[in-house]
Amino acid sequence: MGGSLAFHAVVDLKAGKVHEANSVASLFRGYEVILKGRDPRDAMFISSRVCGVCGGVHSVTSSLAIEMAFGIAPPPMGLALRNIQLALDFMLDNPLHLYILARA
Amino acid sequence: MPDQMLTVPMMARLDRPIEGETSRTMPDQMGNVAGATMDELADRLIETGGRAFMPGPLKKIVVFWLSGMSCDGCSISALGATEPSVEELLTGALPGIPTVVLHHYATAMESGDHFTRSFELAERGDLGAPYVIVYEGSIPDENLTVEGEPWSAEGSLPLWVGSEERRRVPTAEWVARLAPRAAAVIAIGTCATWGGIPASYGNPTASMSLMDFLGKDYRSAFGLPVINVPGCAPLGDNFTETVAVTLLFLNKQGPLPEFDELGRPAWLFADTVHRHCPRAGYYEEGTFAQEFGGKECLVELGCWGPVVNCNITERGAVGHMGGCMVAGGSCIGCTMPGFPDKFSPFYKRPPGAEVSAFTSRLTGSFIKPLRRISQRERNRTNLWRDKIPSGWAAELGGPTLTHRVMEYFYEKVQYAASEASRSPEARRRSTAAGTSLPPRPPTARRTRTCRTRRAAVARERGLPRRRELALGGGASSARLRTGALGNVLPESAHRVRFPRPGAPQGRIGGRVQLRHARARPLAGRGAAQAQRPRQGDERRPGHPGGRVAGVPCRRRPQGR
Ligand code: SF4
Ligand code: SF4
Repeated sequence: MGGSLAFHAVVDLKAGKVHEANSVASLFRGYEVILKGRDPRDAMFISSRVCGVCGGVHSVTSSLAIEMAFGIAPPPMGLALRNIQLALDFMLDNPLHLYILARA
Repeated sequence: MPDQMLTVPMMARLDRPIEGETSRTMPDQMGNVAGATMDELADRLIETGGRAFMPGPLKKIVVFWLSGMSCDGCSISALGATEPSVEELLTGALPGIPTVVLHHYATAMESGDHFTRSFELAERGDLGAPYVIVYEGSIPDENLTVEGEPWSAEGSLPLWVGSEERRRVPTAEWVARLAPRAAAVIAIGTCATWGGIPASYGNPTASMSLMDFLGKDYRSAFGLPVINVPGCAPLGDNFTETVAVTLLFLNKQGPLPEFDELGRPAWLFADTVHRHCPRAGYYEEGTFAQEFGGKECLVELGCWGPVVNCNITERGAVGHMGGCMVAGGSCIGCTMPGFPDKFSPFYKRPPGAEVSAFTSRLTGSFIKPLRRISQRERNRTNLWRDKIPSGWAAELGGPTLTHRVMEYFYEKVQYAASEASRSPEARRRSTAAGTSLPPRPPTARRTRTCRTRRAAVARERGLPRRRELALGGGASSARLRTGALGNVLPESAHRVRFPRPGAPQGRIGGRVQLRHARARPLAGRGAAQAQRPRQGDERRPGHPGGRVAGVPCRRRPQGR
C-alpha cells in the first residue's frame, strides 16, 4: 500500500470471502490548517509537500485553484509547460509507486 | 554485480536455511511471504557475497527507517542518491562500511508483526548488531490526539501481552523506545531536522523536530548527538554520504565527521547556495531577472540563496544534475530551520535584497561596461590588432574611442612591473627571441604606424609576411581585401580556394584558404626553422606566420 494508509482484512481464502475489512489513515498533518492565512501563491510550494512521491500534482492543483479563485489563466506557453511538467511527474511517480511503494 | 548479489540470498533461502532462522519457525507466515526477514537476507548476503575480509569490527549494521509526519519525499530522494547509492550501502559494496540491513516500511520483506519484531528485538538489545535510527518527518505531540488514535503511526502491537485487541503505535513512541540503544540517530529532511512544514504557523499537531523531541542532552550509545541532514526534499547524495561517513566512524575506519552547531554535516552545509549558484555572476554584476525563464539572478523574484546553507548548486539534485536555481527556480530556503515561515511569501523579494541588490546594481553599472571592454580586447590575438581575419567580423562594430582609451590604460597596468616592460632593451631581446610580441606603442601612434611596424617586426624576425584575407561586406560581395599587412594585390591573386585533400593548406578553419606570400629568402630565425626537418605537422602551431617556412606554396601571389 503506497501512502499513509493502514489496511487490515480478514479473508477466508478457501471460501473466497472477506469477513472483515478496515482501513485507517495513519497520518494527519493538518495542511488545511497550515495553509490558512498565507500568500495564496505559497500554496503551490506548501501543498506540494503533502506527498514526496507526487508533489507535482499537488502544486498543479493548487495553481488551478488559485486561477479559479482569481479568475486568471496562464498564457498558452505556460499551460504547455505545466502540462509537460505534469506528464514528467507522472513518469516519475507511477514507476515509483509501482516498484517501490506498492510492491508485495 | 548488485543484481547478482541481491538474488543470491533469495536463491539460497530455498535449499540452505540459516542457523537460527526465525522466519521459518514462526508459525504465522502471512506477514512474510518471502519466507525470510531482512536480517536473514543480509546474513545470507554477507555469507555468500564473497567479501571474506571486511575491515572493522562491524559486519553489518541495522538501520530502522522511521517515518513520522512525513511525505515520503526523503525516502524518494535517498533512493535517487548516486554517490554512494543506496544499493552500494545495502550490499556492503563500499570498503570499511558494514552491510546495511534496512528496515524501511516500503522495502521491507516483512509486514505486520514480522515487521515490528526487529524493532522489539532492538529495544531489548537482542538484535545482535548495532543499529542506527533514520527518522523522516516531524514528530507530533501525541498527547493531543483524539481517542488515542495517533497522528502518525507505524505498525500495531497488542494492547497488552497476549491481548486480542491491538493499538497502533505512534512513530514517536518507536523513537523514544529505540533511541537510547541506537548507535546513531540521523534526522533526514527539514521536517525531522527542524520541524518543517508540519511545524509551521498553524501547526495543529504541535509538531516538532527530532532534536526538540530527544532534547539537548541526548547522546546515542556511541556518544553522538542527533545528526541532521536537512532539505525539503534533501539531496539524496547528502544523506547517503553522511550515512557512509558516520558508518565509517562507527566501524572505526574513519574520524568523527565534522558537524556544525546544528548537527549538520559541516562539509556539506557550510557554504551558502548562492556562492556556487550558476547565476551568482549575474548578481555580482547587478543583472537581475524580472521574470522567470531567464538566465539572470533570481533575487528580485524571491531567491533567498545568499543566506541559505545548502549545496544543491554544487551537488545537483540527482546525479549532479539539476537543482533549484540551475533549473530556473528561486531558493525558498528549504534546508533552513526557519523554513517555511521565515522565507514566505516565497514570491516576494527578500528584504535583505533591497540593500544588496541595490549595491550590486550600483557597482555593476560601471564594472560591467569596463569588463566588456577588456573582454572584447581579450577576444583578439596579439596579431590581429583591430582587424579580425574572420568573415563574421564585418558584422560587428569596431572599437569606440572609450574602448581605445580604456584599453590603453588597462594595458599599461597589466604590463606594469612585468618582465616585458622592464627596459626597452629587455623588450627588444625577448621580442627577438620570439617569446613575446613587442609591447605596443601608444595607441595614437599604433594606429598610424601599425602596418609599417608589423612589417618591420616581420622582417626583423625573418618571418614570412602574412597576408590576411577576409570576405568583406555582405554575402553577395565577392570583394576580397587584404589584411593589415600586405600590399593590395590584384584580385585574381586572391581567388577563394577550397582546400583540396592532401594539399598543403595555409589555414583550414574557414572556407577561405589563406596563402602567405614570402617576401624574400628566409633569414635568421625563420631560416633556421626552415632547415630543421619536420615531420607530420606542416604548420607551426601558434606561429604568427601560420605557415611552415619551407613548405612550398602551390601558388604564390606576386608582389613582395
Ligand atoms: S539566483 Fe539566488 S542563489 Fe543564485 S545568484 Fe541569485 S540570489 Fe544567489
Ligand atoms: S536552493 Fe533553497 S530551495 Fe533549493 S534545495 Fe537549497 S535550500 Fe532548498
